[in-house]
Amino acid sequence: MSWWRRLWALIRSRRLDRELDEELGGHIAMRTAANRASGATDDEARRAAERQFGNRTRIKEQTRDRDILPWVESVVQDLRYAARQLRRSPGFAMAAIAAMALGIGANAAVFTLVNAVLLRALPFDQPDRIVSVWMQPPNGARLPFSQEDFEDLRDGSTSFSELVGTLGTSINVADDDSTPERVPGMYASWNLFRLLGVQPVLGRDFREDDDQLGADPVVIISYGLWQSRYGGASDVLGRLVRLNSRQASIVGVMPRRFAFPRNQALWIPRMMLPRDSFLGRRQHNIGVIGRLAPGVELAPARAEVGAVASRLAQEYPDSNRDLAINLLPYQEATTSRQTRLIFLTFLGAVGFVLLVACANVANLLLARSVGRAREIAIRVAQGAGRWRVIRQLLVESVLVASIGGALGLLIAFAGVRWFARASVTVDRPYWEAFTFDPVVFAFVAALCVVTGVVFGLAPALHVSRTDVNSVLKEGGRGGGGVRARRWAGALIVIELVLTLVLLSGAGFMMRSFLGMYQMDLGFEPTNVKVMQLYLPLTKYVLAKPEMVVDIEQRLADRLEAVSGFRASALASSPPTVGTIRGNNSQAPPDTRPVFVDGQEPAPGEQPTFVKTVSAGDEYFDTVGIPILRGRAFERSDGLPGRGAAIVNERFAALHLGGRDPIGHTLVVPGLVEVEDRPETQTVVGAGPLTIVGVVPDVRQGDLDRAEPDPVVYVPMRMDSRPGVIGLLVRAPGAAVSVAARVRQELAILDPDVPVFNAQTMDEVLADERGQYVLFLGMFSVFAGIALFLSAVGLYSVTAYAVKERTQEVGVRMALGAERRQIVWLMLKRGLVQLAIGLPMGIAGALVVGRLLESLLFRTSPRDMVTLVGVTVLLGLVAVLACVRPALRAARLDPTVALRHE
Amino acid sequence: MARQTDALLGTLDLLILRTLASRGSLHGYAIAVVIQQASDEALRVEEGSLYPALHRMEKAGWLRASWRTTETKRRARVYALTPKGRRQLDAAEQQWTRVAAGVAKVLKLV
Repeated sequence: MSWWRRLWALIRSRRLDRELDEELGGHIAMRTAANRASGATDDEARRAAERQFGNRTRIKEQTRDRDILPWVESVVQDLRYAARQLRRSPGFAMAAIAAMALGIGANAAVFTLVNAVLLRALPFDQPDRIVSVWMQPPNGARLPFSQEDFEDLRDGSTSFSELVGTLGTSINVADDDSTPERVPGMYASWNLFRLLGVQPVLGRDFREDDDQLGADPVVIISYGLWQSRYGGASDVLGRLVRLNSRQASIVGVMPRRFAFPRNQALWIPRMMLPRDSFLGRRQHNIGVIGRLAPGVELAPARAEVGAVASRLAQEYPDSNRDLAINLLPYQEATTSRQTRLIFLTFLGAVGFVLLVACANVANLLLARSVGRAREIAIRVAQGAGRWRVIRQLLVESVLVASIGGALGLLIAFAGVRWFARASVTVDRPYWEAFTFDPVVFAFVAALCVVTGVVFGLAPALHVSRTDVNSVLKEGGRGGGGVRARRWAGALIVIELVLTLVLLSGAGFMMRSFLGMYQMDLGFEPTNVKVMQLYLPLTKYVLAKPEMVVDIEQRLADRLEAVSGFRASALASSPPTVGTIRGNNSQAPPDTRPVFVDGQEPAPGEQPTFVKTVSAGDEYFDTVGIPILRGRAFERSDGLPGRGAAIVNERFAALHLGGRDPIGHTLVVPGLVEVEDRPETQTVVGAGPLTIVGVVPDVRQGDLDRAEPDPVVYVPMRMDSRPGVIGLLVRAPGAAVSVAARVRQELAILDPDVPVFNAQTMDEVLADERGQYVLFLGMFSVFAGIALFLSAVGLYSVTAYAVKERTQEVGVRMALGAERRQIVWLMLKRGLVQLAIGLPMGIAGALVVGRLLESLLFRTSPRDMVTLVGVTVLLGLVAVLACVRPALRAARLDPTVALRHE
Repeated sequence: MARQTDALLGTLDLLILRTLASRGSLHGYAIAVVIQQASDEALRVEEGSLYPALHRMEKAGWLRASWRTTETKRRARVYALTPKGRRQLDAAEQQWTRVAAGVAKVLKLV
């Protein structure tokens, strides 16, 4: 209670002052009246009264002291004093504030990103209870579930209060009123929104009976789609719309900005997926998320799903053998370890930048404090305690840091906006919005205070120790010269070390990126166009692959005849990309178990899981992959009894012991052999494939791995599935025109098959590499800022030293020193600092390089070229920074210099 | 005079509390007059030093203060005991008795 009164008193300070005056005055007046009553004159009465009262000012002060929190008022006093001091030295103020703005601004920007990507909770109900569930083959990959497996898990487990199966894919939206469009959508169990805890803002959520076979098809659309396609019309509910040629009615609209999981525009119950298109437990395409039941923790849930996996493996050995089931919290599962590492590295890098900025400002303060020694001495002489002086200096530092921090926020705004725009192509969840929320502001505020104390403490401690007597006597020239110089030197060395580490980091990343760019792709991307086709699931049935094979063959024939198309081929994915099939980012590249030479693995041993690419006959021609040994695919490959495969060199090395693969056989479950005449309707599961060719290593979704992965190519006709398929065409011209031509040909065969996402191969490559460019850019910016700050720091320290030693220079010149010797004298200290700092910096760079190793591509963290390069760069910049003031020293007029104070 | 005040400062609280307990609400001048008269002029407190004590005790919650208009049409700040102040008075009186007794014993023995 008394605490509050004191605080309140601070606010009402003036009024209280007046009241106290009134109270004390009243007392004296009454005493005066009493004295007059005993016979004294007015004057005597008053004077006696005042004497009896005591020292009024002192009494007042003593009383007031108890009214307010004294330290708050004196801090306010300190602030006003600090502001005055700053205004008096604008040069220092600008330099210090600029350094802080850069340092704190960069940190604020990176923290905003880290907050958005790593820290912020997902915008769902109790997000830490949501888990991602997947099937795990022995090689540790994450596979989605099959429909049947999902249903078995759902029905056979109790750990989840909600379990949802999802399939993301692009969906054709058409109705009678507007042009059809293709949007990203998702088939999901009816309880998806219940699991997330998000409700439609219009209409209703799905009901369990929507998600049954034979139910009336319904769809829930996103807010964005509602606005863009239906103009936000209030009667949108109940409207009919054709989704992939199947009619459904709109029953709900989701809230603004909701686009689970990435950028989906509509959601359809899972059972609306054409049921007969998904036979077979080998078809893994259902992503699963669950909400842990109340009271259930991760470990027991994991144990339970593990048990379900074992049961399934026993019941269905053909498809589920060696498939485990695992789960992780959803937020963790959707942030790759690499992303986390990259952002943490950013945080570290930008922290270094801030330290360099702090060292800079500390140096500036040191230089300034030597000049302020007189002022400090006077204050100490007047009775200010040492801690009072230190506190006042710290208030000054925090003020500088805060002003810099406020400016830094502006820099951060700009930086985050730039990053958001530059990373638009990077695949990320819709809820990762790079916005500034209170956490960021709190972080910046804390940073201002902490940095202010950090860079202010050393100079404050140093200056407060000034010997008052000597300073006052000598007319203000503090004798703290030597110690100050040593501090300054140490700070410069620290700056150099940190800058070198940052430069090395940026250098490593640059080399890594160059390595990726220059890497021999293994194919020829020029003139290659990439696009996607969609064979509607309603029309092309999985159980009848011959339908797909038929249209694929006829398309290939037609495209072959187009003049201007040098070659073309369908494929499950183009080179370097993981997979094109489906828009489901959770789906990994087609990875299948492969049995070499018919060998079954021993019990307990793991079968080999290998990436497979299904490719049309002319694939290697189209993409420009040379055949090293053997031959490319032919028309007859893949017909019954003529299963064929082509492997890359890595596969041969890993799984065939380096022997010549030609002639060996592979068994790849899940493929089919389709007769050439679809009318006869013979489809058999594929027998062993004979390896007929060997090709060089081409990356498939593993651009950042050190070694390419083994890949098996199978003829397209053996793996024909409806859904999304890639098409590659080697033809000159724009991607759009090539796509238009393809559309023409395709329209003759089947007008319901759309062609979309046409790009050039170069554009695809650029997308894949896009995020590496981004990260490299950011590191370079940070390293550049640090370099700039270090240069400025060195420059100002040297310039100050020159100013300090002007008299000395004058003396030396008068004694006959040459200009060259003066320059060398001034440079010497800087060079010593370099000599100490650079080796330490290299050591630091090696340590940091080890930490970054997993991010680097084909670059050793001990890469000599990079290290030498950045060391030379820093050395040059540092020397240049020192040279200018040194040269100026040499140009001094000795007569003027001698008289300099 | 000042020396006397110093020695009294520790017991100043006690005197003020006791005065207010007996006399009810008083302003600072009145308290000073009461103490002087009651002690037969032996304790002439430097009158100003009352006020830091009064304000301190008010902040501590032992006294409650309010503005009143006196008969002479002047505004004065009047202090009164709170229940907490009353408890403090009891404690201080006990302490004072103990200390006085102790001093007396020493004076007798030494």
